[in-house]
Amino acid sequence: MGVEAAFDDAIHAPTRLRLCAMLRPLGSADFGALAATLEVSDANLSKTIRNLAEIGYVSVAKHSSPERGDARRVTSVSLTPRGRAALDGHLAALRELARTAEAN
Amino acid sequence: MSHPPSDDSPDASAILDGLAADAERLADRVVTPSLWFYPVLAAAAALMVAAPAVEESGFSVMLLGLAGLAFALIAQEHHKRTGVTVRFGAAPKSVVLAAVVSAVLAGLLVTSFSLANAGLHSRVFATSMAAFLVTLVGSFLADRVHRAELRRGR
Repeated sequence: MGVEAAFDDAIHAPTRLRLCAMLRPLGSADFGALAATLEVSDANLSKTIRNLAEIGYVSVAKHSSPERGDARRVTSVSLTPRGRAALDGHLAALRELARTAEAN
Repeated sequence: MSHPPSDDSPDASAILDGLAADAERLADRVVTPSLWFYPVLAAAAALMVAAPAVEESGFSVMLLGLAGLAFALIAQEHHKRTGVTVRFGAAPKSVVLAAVVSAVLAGLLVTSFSLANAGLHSRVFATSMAAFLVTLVGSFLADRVHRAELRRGR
Protein backbone atom coordinates (compact mmCIF):
# COMPACT_ATOMS: atom_id res chain seq x y z
CA MET A 1 0.00 0.00 0.00
CA GLY A 2 1.49 3.38 -1.05
CA VAL A 3 1.76 6.40 1.22
CA GLU A 4 -0.31 9.43 0.28
CA ALA A 5 1.93 12.39 -0.51
CA ALA A 6 1.20 15.30 1.85
CA PHE A 7 3.57 18.23 2.08
CA ASP A 8 3.79 19.21 5.75
CA ASP A 9 5.09 22.68 6.65
CA ALA A 10 5.50 21.64 10.27
CA ILE A 11 8.16 19.14 9.31
CA HIS A 12 9.85 20.83 6.36
CA ALA A 13 12.40 22.92 8.28
CA PRO A 14 15.78 21.18 7.82
CA THR A 15 16.52 20.20 11.42
CA ARG A 16 12.95 19.06 12.04
CA LEU A 17 12.92 16.93 8.89
CA ARG A 18 16.36 15.46 9.56
CA LEU A 19 15.46 14.66 13.16
CA CYS A 20 12.22 12.91 12.20
CA ALA A 21 13.94 10.96 9.40
CA MET A 22 16.70 9.94 11.79
CA LEU A 23 14.15 8.65 14.31
CA ARG A 24 12.06 6.84 11.66
CA PRO A 25 13.89 3.46 11.84
CA LEU A 26 14.60 3.66 15.58
CA GLY A 27 12.67 2.87 18.71
CA SER A 28 14.30 5.82 20.43
CA ALA A 29 17.54 7.76 20.42
CA ASP A 30 19.40 9.53 23.21
CA PHE A 31 19.84 13.29 22.92
CA GLY A 32 23.63 13.00 22.71
CA ALA A 33 23.48 10.42 19.93
CA LEU A 34 21.11 12.62 17.92
CA ALA A 35 23.22 15.76 18.36
CA ALA A 36 26.37 13.89 17.32
CA THR A 37 24.82 12.16 14.32
CA LEU A 38 22.93 15.20 13.02
CA GLU A 39 25.89 17.48 13.81
CA VAL A 40 23.70 20.24 15.24
CA SER A 41 24.13 22.28 18.40
CA ASP A 42 22.49 21.15 21.64
CA ALA A 43 20.45 24.36 21.73
CA ASN A 44 19.15 23.91 18.19
CA LEU A 45 18.31 20.26 18.77
CA SER A 46 16.66 21.00 22.10
CA LYS A 47 14.45 23.66 20.55
CA THR A 48 13.55 21.42 17.60
CA ILE A 49 12.60 18.54 19.90
CA ARG A 50 10.48 20.84 22.05
CA ASN A 51 8.65 22.20 18.98
CA LEU A 52 8.02 18.75 17.53
CA ALA A 53 6.84 17.47 20.91
CA GLU A 54 4.37 20.35 21.14
CA ILE A 55 2.70 19.28 17.88
CA GLY A 56 2.77 15.62 18.88
CA TYR A 57 5.32 14.42 16.33
CA VAL A 58 7.89 13.19 18.86
CA SER A 59 7.73 12.03 22.44
CA VAL A 60 10.40 12.64 25.04
CA ALA A 61 11.34 10.45 27.97
CA LYS A 62 13.89 11.11 30.67
CA HIS A 63 15.57 8.28 32.47
CA SER A 64 18.45 7.82 34.82
CA SER A 65 21.57 6.18 33.51
CA PRO A 66 24.17 4.20 35.44
CA GLU A 67 26.79 5.64 33.08
CA ARG A 68 26.25 9.17 34.35
CA GLY A 69 28.20 10.20 37.41
CA ASP A 70 25.90 13.15 38.17
CA ALA A 71 22.20 13.37 38.93
CA ARG A 72 21.18 14.55 35.45
CA ARG A 73 18.90 12.26 33.50
CA VAL A 74 19.31 11.08 29.93
CA THR A 75 16.74 12.38 27.46
CA SER A 76 15.58 9.94 24.84
CA VAL A 77 13.37 10.88 21.90
CA SER A 78 11.10 8.78 19.73
CA LEU A 79 8.85 9.45 16.75
CA THR A 80 5.14 9.13 17.50
CA PRO A 81 2.75 7.35 15.08
CA ARG A 82 1.46 10.81 14.11
CA GLY A 83 4.99 12.01 13.42
CA ARG A 84 5.74 8.88 11.41
CA ALA A 85 2.63 9.38 9.27
CA ALA A 86 3.53 13.04 8.69
CA LEU A 87 7.11 12.15 7.77
CA ASP A 88 6.06 9.39 5.38
CA GLY A 89 3.59 11.72 3.65
CA HIS A 90 6.14 14.51 3.45
CA LEU A 91 8.85 12.23 2.03
CA ALA A 92 6.37 10.96 -0.56
CA ALA A 93 5.64 14.60 -1.51
CA LEU A 94 9.36 15.36 -1.81
CA ARG A 95 9.88 12.31 -4.03
CA GLU A 96 7.02 13.47 -6.26
CA LEU A 97 8.57 16.94 -6.49
CA ALA A 98 11.96 15.43 -7.30
CA ARG A 99 10.44 13.24 -10.02
CA THR A 100 8.56 16.20 -11.51
CA ALA A 101 11.71 18.36 -11.49
CA GLU A 102 13.69 15.57 -13.15
CA ALA A 103 11.05 15.13 -15.85
CA ASN A 104 11.04 18.87 -16.71
CA MET B 1 0.02 21.63 6.06
CA SER B 2 0.31 20.84 2.41
CA HIS B 3 1.61 23.50 0.15
CA PRO B 4 4.79 22.87 -1.80
CA PRO B 5 8.00 24.77 -1.09
CA SER B 6 8.66 28.15 -2.66
CA ASP B 7 11.20 28.55 -5.44
CA ASP B 8 13.94 29.69 -3.09
CA SER B 9 13.82 26.57 -0.91
CA PRO B 10 16.33 23.78 -1.52
CA ASP B 11 15.13 21.44 -4.24
CA ALA B 12 13.53 18.16 -3.24
CA SER B 13 16.35 16.03 -4.66
CA ALA B 14 18.94 17.88 -2.57
CA ILE B 15 16.83 17.42 0.56
CA LEU B 16 16.40 13.69 -0.12
CA ASP B 17 20.14 13.34 -0.78
CA GLY B 18 20.83 15.05 2.54
CA LEU B 19 18.52 12.62 4.35
CA ALA B 20 20.26 9.69 2.65
CA ALA B 21 23.60 11.01 3.94
CA ASP B 22 22.11 11.20 7.47
CA ALA B 23 20.94 7.59 7.14
CA GLU B 24 24.51 6.60 6.19
CA ARG B 25 25.85 8.36 9.28
CA LEU B 26 23.27 6.67 11.47
CA ALA B 27 24.17 3.23 10.07
CA ASP B 28 27.84 3.95 10.75
CA ARG B 29 27.00 4.97 14.30
CA VAL B 30 24.87 1.92 15.07
CA VAL B 31 27.85 -0.29 14.57
CA THR B 32 28.29 -3.17 16.94
CA PRO B 33 30.71 -2.14 19.71
CA SER B 34 33.72 -4.10 18.51
CA LEU B 35 34.92 -7.58 17.64
CA TRP B 36 34.37 -8.85 21.18
CA PHE B 37 30.61 -8.42 20.85
CA TYR B 38 29.86 -11.47 18.68
CA PRO B 39 32.06 -14.00 20.56
CA VAL B 40 30.76 -12.84 23.96
CA LEU B 41 27.16 -13.07 22.76
CA ALA B 42 27.89 -16.52 21.30
CA ALA B 43 29.57 -17.63 24.54
CA ALA B 44 26.49 -16.55 26.53
CA ALA B 45 24.28 -18.59 24.17
CA ALA B 46 26.63 -21.60 24.46
CA LEU B 47 26.55 -21.31 28.27
CA MET B 48 22.75 -21.22 28.26
CA VAL B 49 22.48 -24.31 26.04
CA ALA B 50 25.16 -26.16 28.05
CA ALA B 51 23.42 -25.53 31.40
CA PRO B 52 21.22 -28.69 31.31
CA ALA B 53 24.37 -30.85 31.17
CA VAL B 54 25.24 -29.90 34.73
CA GLU B 55 23.83 -32.67 36.90
CA GLU B 56 23.39 -30.51 39.99
CA SER B 57 20.11 -28.71 39.24
CA GLY B 58 20.86 -25.67 41.40
CA PHE B 59 24.11 -25.06 39.52
CA SER B 60 22.30 -25.59 36.21
CA VAL B 61 19.77 -22.88 37.10
CA MET B 62 22.62 -20.62 38.17
CA LEU B 63 24.28 -21.06 34.74
CA LEU B 64 21.00 -20.19 33.00
CA GLY B 65 20.76 -17.10 35.20
CA LEU B 66 24.35 -16.13 34.37
CA ALA B 67 23.64 -16.49 30.65
CA GLY B 68 20.53 -14.30 31.03
CA LEU B 69 22.55 -11.71 32.93
CA ALA B 70 25.21 -11.76 30.19
CA PHE B 71 22.55 -11.12 27.51
CA ALA B 72 21.17 -8.19 29.53
CA LEU B 73 24.64 -6.68 30.08
CA ILE B 74 25.51 -7.04 26.39
CA ALA B 75 22.26 -5.29 25.38
CA GLN B 76 22.95 -2.51 27.91
CA GLU B 77 26.49 -2.05 26.62
CA HIS B 78 25.20 -1.87 23.03
CA HIS B 79 22.71 0.85 23.98
CA LYS B 80 25.33 2.74 25.96
CA ARG B 81 27.69 2.83 22.99
CA THR B 82 25.18 3.57 20.24
CA GLY B 83 22.63 5.68 22.15
CA VAL B 84 19.74 4.21 20.18
CA THR B 85 17.18 1.45 20.46
CA VAL B 86 15.83 -0.50 17.51
CA ARG B 87 12.23 -0.32 16.35
CA PHE B 88 11.47 -3.87 15.29
CA GLY B 89 8.82 -3.02 12.71
CA ALA B 90 11.28 -0.81 10.87
CA ALA B 91 13.90 -3.46 10.19
CA PRO B 92 11.97 -6.54 9.07
CA LYS B 93 14.80 -8.59 7.56
CA SER B 94 17.17 -8.26 10.51
CA VAL B 95 14.32 -8.97 12.93
CA VAL B 96 13.39 -12.13 11.01
CA LEU B 97 17.02 -13.21 11.09
CA ALA B 98 17.24 -12.56 14.85
CA ALA B 99 13.97 -14.48 15.35
CA VAL B 100 15.35 -17.45 13.39
CA VAL B 101 18.52 -17.47 15.52
CA SER B 102 16.40 -17.28 18.70
CA ALA B 103 14.18 -20.16 17.50
CA VAL B 104 17.24 -22.31 16.70
CA LEU B 105 18.68 -21.54 20.15
CA ALA B 106 15.38 -22.50 21.80
CA GLY B 107 15.45 -25.76 19.81
CA LEU B 108 19.03 -26.44 20.88
CA LEU B 109 18.15 -25.74 24.53
CA VAL B 110 15.23 -28.20 24.35
CA THR B 111 17.58 -30.75 22.72
CA SER B 112 20.08 -30.23 25.56
CA PHE B 113 17.40 -30.86 28.18
CA SER B 114 16.31 -34.01 26.30
CA LEU B 115 19.89 -35.29 26.05
CA ALA B 116 20.53 -34.56 29.74
CA ASN B 117 17.30 -36.32 30.75
CA ALA B 118 18.40 -39.34 28.69
CA GLY B 119 21.71 -39.36 30.59
CA LEU B 120 23.69 -38.29 27.52
CA HIS B 121 25.33 -35.35 29.27
CA SER B 122 28.52 -35.40 27.20
CA ARG B 123 26.54 -34.90 23.98
CA VAL B 124 25.28 -31.56 25.25
CA PHE B 125 28.74 -30.27 24.37
CA ALA B 126 27.74 -30.62 20.67
CA THR B 127 24.51 -28.62 21.09
CA SER B 128 26.43 -26.01 23.07
CA MET B 129 29.00 -25.66 20.28
CA ALA B 130 26.18 -25.47 17.73
CA ALA B 131 24.62 -22.64 19.79
CA PHE B 132 27.96 -20.81 19.80
CA LEU B 133 28.34 -21.06 16.02
CA VAL B 134 24.70 -20.22 15.22
CA THR B 135 24.83 -17.13 17.47
CA LEU B 136 28.24 -16.03 16.22
CA VAL B 137 27.24 -16.20 12.55
CA GLY B 138 23.60 -15.20 13.08
CA SER B 139 24.32 -12.09 15.16
CA PHE B 140 27.01 -10.99 12.70
CA LEU B 141 24.62 -11.37 9.75
CA ALA B 142 21.68 -9.74 11.57
CA ASP B 143 23.89 -6.78 12.42
CA ARG B 144 25.01 -6.36 8.81
CA VAL B 145 21.45 -6.64 7.50
CA HIS B 146 20.24 -4.13 10.10
CA ARG B 147 22.84 -1.58 9.09
CA ALA B 148 21.88 -2.03 5.45
CA GLU B 149 18.24 -1.40 6.41
CA LEU B 150 19.25 1.75 8.30
CA ARG B 151 21.13 2.97 5.23
CA ARG B 152 17.91 2.70 3.28
CA GLY B 153 16.20 4.77 5.99
CA ARG B 154 14.09 1.87 7.28
